[in-house]
Amino acid sequence: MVACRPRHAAVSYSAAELYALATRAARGAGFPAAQAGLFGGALVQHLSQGRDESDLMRVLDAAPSGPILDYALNADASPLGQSYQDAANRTGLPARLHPSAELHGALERLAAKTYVPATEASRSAGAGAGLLDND
Amino acid sequence: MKDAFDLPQPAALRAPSHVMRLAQMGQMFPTRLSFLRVLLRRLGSEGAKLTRPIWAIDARGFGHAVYSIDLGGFSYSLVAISTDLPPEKRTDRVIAEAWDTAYVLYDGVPSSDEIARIVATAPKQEAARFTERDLILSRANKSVRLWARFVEGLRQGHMPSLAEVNAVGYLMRTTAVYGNGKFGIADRHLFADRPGATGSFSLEMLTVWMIRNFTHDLLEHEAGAPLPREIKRHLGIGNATGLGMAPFLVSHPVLLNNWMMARETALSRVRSGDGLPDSKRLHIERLTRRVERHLEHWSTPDQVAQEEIEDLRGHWPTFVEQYLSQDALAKPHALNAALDAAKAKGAGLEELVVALSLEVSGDEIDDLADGMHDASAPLAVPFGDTADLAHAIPEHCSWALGIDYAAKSNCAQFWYVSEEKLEPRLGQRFDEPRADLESPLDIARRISALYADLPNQAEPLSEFLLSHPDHLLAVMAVNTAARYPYALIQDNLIAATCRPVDLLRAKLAMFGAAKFDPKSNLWTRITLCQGAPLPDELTPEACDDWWLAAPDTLQ
Repeated sequence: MVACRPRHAAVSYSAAELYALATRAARGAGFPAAQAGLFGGALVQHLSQGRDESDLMRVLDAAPSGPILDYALNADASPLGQSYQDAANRTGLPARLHPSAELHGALERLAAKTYVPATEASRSAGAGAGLLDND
Repeated sequence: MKDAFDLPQPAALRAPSHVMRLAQMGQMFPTRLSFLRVLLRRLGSEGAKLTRPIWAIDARGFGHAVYSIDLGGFSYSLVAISTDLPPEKRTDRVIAEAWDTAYVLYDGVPSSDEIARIVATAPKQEAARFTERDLILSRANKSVRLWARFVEGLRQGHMPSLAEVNAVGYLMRTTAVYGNGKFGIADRHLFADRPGATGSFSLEMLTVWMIRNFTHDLLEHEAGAPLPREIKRHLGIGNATGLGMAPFLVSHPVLLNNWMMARETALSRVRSGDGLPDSKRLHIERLTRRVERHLEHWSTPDQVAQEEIEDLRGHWPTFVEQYLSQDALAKPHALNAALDAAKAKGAGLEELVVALSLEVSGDEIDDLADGMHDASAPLAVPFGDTADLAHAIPEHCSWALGIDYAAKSNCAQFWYVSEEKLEPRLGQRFDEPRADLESPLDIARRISALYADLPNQAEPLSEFLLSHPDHLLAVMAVNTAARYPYALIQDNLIAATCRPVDLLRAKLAMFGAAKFDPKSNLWTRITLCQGAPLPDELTPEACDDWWLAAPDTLQ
C-alpha cells in the first residue's frame, strides 16, 4: 500500500527533472550556464548507464574548475567523459532514473544556491499579482 | 522540359530581423499550423471517439471522472478530479496550493488502483510525485463569473446567451499544463515517436481539449440540464500564463526555429502561388467576415491591448475592401499585395493577414506541421578559431551589437528562479536584491560581451574558451543562429522595455490560443478550443475549420 511506503524508499525520477536539477546544481556550484547545462545532460546519461555516482560529486566539488569546464569542450575517455559523449550523441534514456538519496540531496542543496527568496516586493510585482483572480 | 528560369521562383522567407523581434512576435495569431489545430485535424482524420468510462461525481459536482480516447493507435485517459475549493484559496497564480479541479493525462486506461493513486495525488500538483504512466499534469479553476450564473440559470430553465458566454469564453481556466517529466511525470522521449504524439505539445493540447469537455459535462451535471450545442462549442478552455513559459523559447532555440521556419515556409509557399482559384477566393471572403466578428467579440480591460484590437477593428473593413474583396483577389499575386499592404500598416494587421493566408492554404502547407518538433542541435563548436567567430557575430547577430548594456535602461531587468516555487521570475535589477543569481536569458548582452572580448590575433576557439569559460553560452548561441535563422529572439530580454507578455503571446499563438487578454506585462489570460469541435463532431470537416471561430451573432 502506498501509505505504508517508508519515507526514504528509493524515489525514481524523470530524466528531464534530473537534467534541470543537475544544471542548476552546477550553476549553484559556481560553473557558467552552458557548462552547467552540458553537465546536466551528462549526469542523466551517467545515471542511466549505471556509472559511479561519485564521479558526479567529485567534479561538482572541483568548482570552479576541473572536468565540468574541460569536458564541455573536449570529453576524455573516462566514465564521466563517456557520459558527456553519450549526451552529445543523444543516447536513449530509460523511463526512470534512480539517483541515491545522497546524490539527489547534494544536487538540491547546490541548486538551492541559485534560487532567489521571495520578498514582499517581488511577490507584489510578480506575475498574477495585483488582481482578484476569482472572476 | 521547362527551362529552370521559367519556373515560378519561391518567394523569399520573411527576414528573421523582422519576424523575431518581440514587437512582432507579440502580435502573432494562431494559424492552422498551431499545435491545437494540428491535433484536432488528426483526431478528425482518425474519427477519434471520446468515451467516459467513469463518472463518479456527486450532486454538488465533486468527485472524479475518467475519459479515454485513442490517438495514433495508443489510448490516453484523462483522470479529472473536482474538489471543493474555499473562495479564499482560489488564485490563478502559480504559487496557489489548491484548485477547483486537477487532471492527469494517463498513458493507457488506468486500473482502479491507478485511479485511486491519481485522485490522491493530482490535487496536490507540484507537492506530489508522479509516475511515467502520468503523461501530463494540469489543474483548472472555475470562472466564477460564469459558473454560478450558468448553473442557476440552467436549473431554472434559462439558457445562457451567446453574449454571456462570449464575455468570458470558457467555464474554467487552467493555470498550468505540465509536461516532459515535471514532478516525476513521463519524459517526453517516452512517447515522442508515437503517431499523433510527435508534434510539440501535442499531448498537452489533447489534455486541454479533454478538460474543456469535462467542464461542459460538469456544468451540465451540476445544473441537471444540457447546454445547447452552439453554446458548448463557443465555450473553450481558458488559461492563465505567467513567466513560467517564457524562458522555454530561449532555452529551446532550435525548436523555436523549427516552429517559426514552418510558418514562414508556409507563408512563402502561399506567396509563390500565382492566381487564386474561385474556391479559395470564396473561402477568404468567408473568413474575412469571421475575422470581423472575432475582432468585434474580442475585448480586454488592458488599455494597450484594447487599443490594438480597436485599431485592427478600425482598419479591417477598409483593408478587406481594398485587398481581400473578390475584385482585389481576382488580380494576380493578390495575396502578396495584401500581405505587403498589411505589413505597412503594422505588426498586428500583418500577423492577422499572415494567419488568414495560411488558413486558406491547407493543401499546400499542412505537411509542414510534421517538421516542427525536432529540437536536436549539434553540440560541437563549429568555429575553428576566434576569427571565424568575429566574422559570424556581425553576420548573424548584429541585432545584439551596438547596445550599451551598462546603461540602466538596457539592463534594468533580470530573470531569476524563485525559491518559492522554483519558477522563473523577472526582477528589477536596481530595486531588488540578488541580481547576482540571474538566469542566462541575457543572450544579447552575452553575444555583445563575447564579441568585445575576442582577441585581435586569431586563436583556436578551444583555447579562447579555456581562458573565457563564461563565453561558451554565447558561442553556442552564435553557432545556433548561424545554422537556424529563426532560433534567437532578436531583442534584449533584460531591457527596461522588454515585455514578457510578447513572448507569451508568441508561444500561446503557436499553441493555438486566441482572445489574448493580458493582465500586465508579465501574464496573460487566453482562450483555447473556442469553436473547436465537440467530442461527437470529430469529422475531418469540423476539425479543419474553426480558426478564430466566432458565432454569426451574439444575440
